[in-house]
Order: sequence, then structure tokens, then C-alpha cells
Amino acid sequence: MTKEYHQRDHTTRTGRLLYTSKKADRMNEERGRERWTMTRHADGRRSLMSHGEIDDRPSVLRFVHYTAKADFSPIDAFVRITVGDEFRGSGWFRFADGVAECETVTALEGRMSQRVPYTGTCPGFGGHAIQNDGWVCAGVDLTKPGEKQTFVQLISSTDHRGATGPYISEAKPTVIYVGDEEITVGAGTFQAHHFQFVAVEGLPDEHPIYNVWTTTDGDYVFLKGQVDGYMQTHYELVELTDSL
Amino acid sequence: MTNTDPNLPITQIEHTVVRGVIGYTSKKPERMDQERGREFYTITKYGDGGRTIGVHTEIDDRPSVMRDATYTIDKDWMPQDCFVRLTVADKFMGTGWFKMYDDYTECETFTSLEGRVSQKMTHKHGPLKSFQNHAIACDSWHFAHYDLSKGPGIQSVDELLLCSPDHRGATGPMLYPLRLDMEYLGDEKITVGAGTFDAHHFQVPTNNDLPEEHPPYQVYTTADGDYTFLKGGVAGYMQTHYELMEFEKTVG
Repeated sequence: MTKEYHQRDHTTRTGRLLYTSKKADRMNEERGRERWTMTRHADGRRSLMSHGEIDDRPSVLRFVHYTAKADFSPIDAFVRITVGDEFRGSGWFRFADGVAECETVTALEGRMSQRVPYTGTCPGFGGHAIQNDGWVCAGVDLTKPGEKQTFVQLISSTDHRGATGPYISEAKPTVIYVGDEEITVGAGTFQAHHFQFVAVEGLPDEHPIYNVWTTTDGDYVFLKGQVDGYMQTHYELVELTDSL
Repeated sequence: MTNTDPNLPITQIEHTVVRGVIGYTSKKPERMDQERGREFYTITKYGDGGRTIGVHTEIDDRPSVMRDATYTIDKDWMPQDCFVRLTVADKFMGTGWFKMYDDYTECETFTSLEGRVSQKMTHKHGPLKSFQNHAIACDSWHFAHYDLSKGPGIQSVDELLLCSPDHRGATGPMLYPLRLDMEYLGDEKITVGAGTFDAHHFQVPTNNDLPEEHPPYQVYTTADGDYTFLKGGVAGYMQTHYELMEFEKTVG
């Protein structure tokens, strides 16, 4: 029972994703997992807190916190990664007044401070949590199904697994909004937006085609995803709760 | 970056992961046992013994406090780095990053009251032994620095850094130095929502070094070397109770 001394103006959702392989010799084998908590404040801001584990050697463990405005433009973020069970980096990001800044310390680059100017609304941020990939899709114009749309993203790593940095890099994904469909995943049956990342400019290695399905409720909850090519990875939401 | 050594297994799991839920309740007569908040955490313990906790906290008491923190310590429970993000009354309060070195701790932060601030605080007593990020799950980690071989009594951490001197951690986040007294009262078996555990019983006596005096704080931790927070309570004007309600190992 809520009393006058209680204040709960936000909502909280939690989710669990499974990472599996679609390679012929590892078909459906679990290769990682992710738990996240998403809070949505009364003014529409959303915060994501995620813990991801990629078991494929060298293993990648990642803690990501990311807060965005109601329109999914970033406010601040934090990324901490461990690669091969050893510290790789810990970095803090802030996006305001036309400048994206990053304060980070990494095992390879040491202590760095970055200032990256931008114009207009800050582009989205990618911290390599799979749920974060769902939020990247919020940058796609849903009134243009079937069209290739290219936009700027600031990312914490140009590595396909996000296993470098963290520090600010720029990427330009080209994404097609395929349309809406009903899909069933481990967490249930959902109406979904279907997106296809057909190219990502700015990465040192070409990223294979990446299909992503998100909820249509405005939270862009990542429901399912699959990367083709050399990766053959599959991601699926297996648990979703709408309250704590 | 992929595995290039065919002699090694394709997967690498050298860490363990546990997740826990701590319930916050009131012990005030008019609110006896009423839920007033909660905390969800994931702790990764690395192969070398270091740990990282990611913790989401909600205090419902008006003005509400929401806090996300990620805090890492090494195998000797020495702080390495920490991120803290605060929302108070559903409004942004601050976001900050702390990095600990042997001689000093730095803080890069942005708060709604102070704006963009960079801090650097030189340690007066050698490498920093503990950091207070205000997650209840981490309150028990301070006691890893109590030498249990000396039995019950009072020992101190000469220098503790906090991300906020507020009792609920609802300011900053910015650096604030403090001395921490720890009283070890003995061991006992206790039952909490998550089960029955062998526990160390500690107390933080009244602390007069904060802007406002903090009432005594009872803390029970596991006795298995992980110092998992089991139960705690603050006396005085706060009358708050904290209890581990769920605990499970998910990896390893």
C-alpha cells in the first residue's frame, strides 16, 4: 500500500537474455548471458543497467549503465569490461552542451580524457550491451519501412564484441526497418518491430548483417537478434518482468 | 578478437556470478515491517579473487532515492573504481566516476547542484582500504578489513572515502573522507529471507564525523569469507531494517 511518505514516480522492468551459437558445430549452445534493469522516470528518461557475459574465449564481462532522454538521446553512461578474466577498462561518458566527454582508464591506453564535439541533438550511444542494441533501433524512422537509413552513433568500442576501450568512437550504422510482426521468444509472445543492420561504417572489420526484433511499446526491449557471417550468434529474451 | 589457440577450450569461465535481493523495511511503530525500498545486485568474482558488483537501489521514502552503482575491489578488498548515479525525487541528482590509485583517488562527476567537478584526494594513510557507495550490499564489505584473529572488539579503518556524507547517500556523488570504526561482536547462526547462515555480527558505532550524527548500525555478514550482507539495522531516528531475501549463484 502506498502512503503519503512513499514516492514511486518511476517504473522498473528487468530482463534476461541468453546468447547462443548458430554455428553448425555449436548449434544452440549457450555462449553467454545478460541481465538488465530498466527504469523509466516520469519525464520519460530511461536508465539501463546491464551485466553481460560472453563465454567465448577470451571471455568478455561487461557492466553497462546508460541513461537516455525520452527521445533516446544519451545523457550519460558507464562501461566496465574484463577480457580474458583480466581488467580491460573502466570509463564514464557524459553528453551535454554539444560535447561528448569520456573519462576512462584502460589496460592498454592508460588514463584518457576525451572531448568529442557534435552538433544538434547528440546521436545515440552504443555501450555493447545487447539491450542497448534495442535502444539503438530507436534512432530509426518508423515511417520509412524498407528504406536504408544511416545515422551517427557514438560507441564505447569498435570491436564487434565491444572488447576494447572503453572510449568514444564514431560509427554509422545503416539500418532497414523491415516492419512489424508477432514473434515468440523464451519470455513470451510479443508484437515486434523488425530491424536489419546491413552495414556499420567506422569499424575496423566489416560487421555481418544483424537482424533485431524489439518491442513496440516504446521501450525498445530487445526480444531477439541474430548476427550472420562469421559470427552466427543468436540473442533471445528469456525472462521479462514489469515490476520489482 | 577470437580464440586463436586450438589447444584451449572454446569457452572461458574463470569467474563466478551471484545475484541477490535485499529488502528494506521500517521498524518505526507506525510503519512496522512495511517495505520502504529494495536492492538488486549481481556480483562477479574473478579468477584472481577480485570482485565487481552492479547494484540497483530504490528507497521509496519521500523524497525517493534511486541509485545505480558499479564498484570493483581487488582480491584484498581494496577499491579499484566505482560508478554512482543518483536520482532523488525522480529527478537527476548526479552521475560520477571514481578511480583509486595507491596515493590518491580521483572523481569525475556532474551533479545538478555542483555542475561538472573534478576532484583529486590524496590518501593520508596509504592505499584506500574501502569506499562507501551507499549500496547496502557493499556495507558488509568494509568488515573484510577487520582482523578476526584478534577476536571481538573495535578496530578502525583510518580513512574511508564516501560518495556522499548524506545518510541515504542522496547527494553528490562526490568524495568525502571519513574514519570508520568497526566493532566485532561475535558469530552466530541467523535466518533471513534467503535462508539460514553462519554469520559474523558487526556494529558501526555512532559516527560523529558526518555532518549529522549517524545512529549505530548493526550488520550481519556471511562467515564464508565473501562478507555477503545478510541483515542489518540502523537505530535512532532511522529505525531501518535491511535483509537478504534472495541469493543464488548463477554462474560457476
